[in-house]
Amino acid sequence: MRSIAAGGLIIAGTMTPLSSILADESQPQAVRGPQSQGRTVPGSPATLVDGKVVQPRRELSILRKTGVLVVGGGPAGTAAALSAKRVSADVTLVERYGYLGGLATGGLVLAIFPLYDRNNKQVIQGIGEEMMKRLDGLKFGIIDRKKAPVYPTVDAEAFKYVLADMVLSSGITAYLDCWGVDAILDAKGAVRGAVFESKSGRQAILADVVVDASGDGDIYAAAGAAFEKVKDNIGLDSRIGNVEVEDVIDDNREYSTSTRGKPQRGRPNMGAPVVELAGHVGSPTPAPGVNWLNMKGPIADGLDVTELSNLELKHRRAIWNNVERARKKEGAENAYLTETAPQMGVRLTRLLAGAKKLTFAEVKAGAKQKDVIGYSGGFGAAPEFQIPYSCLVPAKIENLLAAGRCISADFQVADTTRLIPVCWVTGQAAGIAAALSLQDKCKVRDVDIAKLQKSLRQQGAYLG
Amino acid sequence: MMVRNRRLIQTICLAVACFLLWPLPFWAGASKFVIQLSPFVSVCSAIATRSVGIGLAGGLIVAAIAIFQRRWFCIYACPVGLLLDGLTRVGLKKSRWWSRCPSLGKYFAILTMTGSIVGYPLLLWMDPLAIFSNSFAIRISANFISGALALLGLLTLFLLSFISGSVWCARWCPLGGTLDLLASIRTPLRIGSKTAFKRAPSAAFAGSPTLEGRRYFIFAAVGLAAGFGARRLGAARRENAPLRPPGAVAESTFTGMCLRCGHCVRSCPTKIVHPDVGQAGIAGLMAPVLRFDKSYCREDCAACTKVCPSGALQPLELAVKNRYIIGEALMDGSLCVLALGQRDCDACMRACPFQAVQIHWDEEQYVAYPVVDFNKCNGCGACEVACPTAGDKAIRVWKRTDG
Repeated sequence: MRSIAAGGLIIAGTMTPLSSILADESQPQAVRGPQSQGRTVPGSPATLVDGKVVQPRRELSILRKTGVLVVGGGPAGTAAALSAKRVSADVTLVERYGYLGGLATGGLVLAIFPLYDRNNKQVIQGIGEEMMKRLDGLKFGIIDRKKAPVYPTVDAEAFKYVLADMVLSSGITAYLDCWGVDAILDAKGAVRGAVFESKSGRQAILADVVVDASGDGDIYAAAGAAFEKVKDNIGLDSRIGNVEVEDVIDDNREYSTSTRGKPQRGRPNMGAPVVELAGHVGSPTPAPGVNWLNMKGPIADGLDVTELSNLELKHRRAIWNNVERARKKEGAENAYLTETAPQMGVRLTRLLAGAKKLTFAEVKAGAKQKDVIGYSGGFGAAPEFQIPYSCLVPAKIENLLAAGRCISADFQVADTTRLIPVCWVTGQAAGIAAALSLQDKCKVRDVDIAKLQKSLRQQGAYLG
Repeated sequence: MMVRNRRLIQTICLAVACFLLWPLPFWAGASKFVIQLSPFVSVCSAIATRSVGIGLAGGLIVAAIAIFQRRWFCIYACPVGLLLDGLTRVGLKKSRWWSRCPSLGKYFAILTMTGSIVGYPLLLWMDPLAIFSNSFAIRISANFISGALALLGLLTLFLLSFISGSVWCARWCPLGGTLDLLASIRTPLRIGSKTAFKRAPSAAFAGSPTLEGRRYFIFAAVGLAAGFGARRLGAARRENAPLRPPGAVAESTFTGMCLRCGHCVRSCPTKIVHPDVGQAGIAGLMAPVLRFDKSYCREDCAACTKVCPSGALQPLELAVKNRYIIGEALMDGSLCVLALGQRDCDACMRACPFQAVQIHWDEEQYVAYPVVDFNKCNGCGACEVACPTAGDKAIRVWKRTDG
């Protein structure tokens, strides 16, 4: 590294600007071996009193003071942080895992769906489209771009790289392996930051506005915002390598309604369906010979640690068993398990009770929203629909916005708004709105909608 | 003068009929009542369904007048009569074997009436107003074949009249035959004394009263027997029977009750009602069947049930229609992309307007697949339309075997 700085060598094609390389250089070199303890925080362990565990009252160290704090670095969180930064706010991004991208990378949910309206026009643009463009420029980064109604599939590692690079070069302060566990409220009950647990212990980040992109609405729940608790299926995705059975799967990849010209099948048996027990081989990813497998999983409580733990162990066992069965299939004889997702595919847990709840009836009727901040692509019985800003805003709590799968929508709508491209849309809007509220010194619920929409359009978002 | 007036009235009637049969939104039931003016239809369907509705009134009025003026309807009102009359004038007027056989209309009427007693009015589809009405299906026909099918009945009558003159109107038309029968009861009742308004040529072929009586008896017996037989055949079709529109009477009688007037086909906003071309054999030819390849039977619509003139489709309120079992959705696990692990899919669950489809997690096989709640499913086909499989759909609506 030193030689790079001294010689002024720039590696061709690097996406990291030289300034950040030089910034790294200014830090003192780490020394291997015993270290000074540095600043010590007085310990305050929980104590057992009369059979009850009590956590004593204690002061937390403040890790950082920031303008916009984004909790969660998944599709919504990264979109929120990047777009807030572009409106020149001071942005801090906090992520629970050791990488960015959330379920899109760590969950191995590699399908970028739904992107299109009923006429196969891509109605999700903005920051998500930027990310996909970056992936386009990488070998084995993304397949099936702009092939509506077929939707793109990304490579998880390529996506992690793109997000790391975008965040690093944006000037956002990011903390990884850092779990948001509590909200900080002021005397009036407005949110003023959040508390985190990490290897550095329990720390606080103070912020003027907090965007809850935790997926589970952990921060708004902690702040006392009203929400609806729901359960959905929870699976665990995986990738297998050395499979050459793409063509079989291609038959069923396109949405098509034609039944003509083929002999009809007979009446299926009642009761249990005839399931091919040869094992699943999944569908192709950008990496050659690598398929990804989605798992629906049973309906479970994504907020219950016992249930989650049991489920995750069972899922991992089942994934291995599946690969062994899959090897009986032609083209998958030498398939091996390349990875199981680090994160379980938790679909929905908490749904905010926002300033407005987006309902399925509205969505199905194609309702026009005055405060539209973007579109969701069409899925199932619902055509493409507009998403209003008011379903990102909690009904009562101030200085707080929700983004991603935990926004204010009824269960049927949330089943679509939870999907990755729609999380980009709500994330980008929440990020810009948070930054605008700081610029205009107003509450997030009073953000000028025209200004928000203008800023979204400037950042390439599609608002119809 | 007389003739010119007659032509004028008949032309007005033709125009009115066209106006009402071209379904205009102001009154959904209008086209239904045009056909119910035929006493042949309204009386037979009243007997077959064992129900009396407002539609019977028009038919009874036409019938009552016919007692005094036998063929008044044919001469003044019948739109088919006017068209065939015109063709007869320019036609070949060739006498073929079929035009020399006796007047069959009233025997057809008798046969159908006795058939309707057992619930199977065998020749109800021969009603000229129904045939006329079906030709309007050309308006919505998507291709040449469905257009040709729509015009088939009327063109056959046109061809018949062009070659052999008024053989249909005078001898074969069951509506005309019904009117003849009604007029003939005047003689024993000794009402009215003047000669008939116009003697139909068929009068010359009327045999002796005893011969006629014997023929009535034979045709009535044939109607009963054929009705019984057709019902048994219909009942035997069961699970292979095609899906009928909501409100359809039991499959065993449906093919008899249906006029093939095409009203239900035309009324469907999603165009899922099609004339059958062989799914239910010869008996079901041209009767309506449902196909879910493009759309499904919508939960906000009961249009087809409201326009049926014969009662083959019973009029249903929307709430009742949504509980009418068209069929049942059955899932084929060997085709389902979710069960096969090819993709995360819950298209059928999302599409179902009645929340009858749920994604079931099979702990044993560690796989998920859709399961249908048959207490909620009415066979509307929304799931079948939504199913993304390229070839055969993994979830399809089938006729219920118990119904």
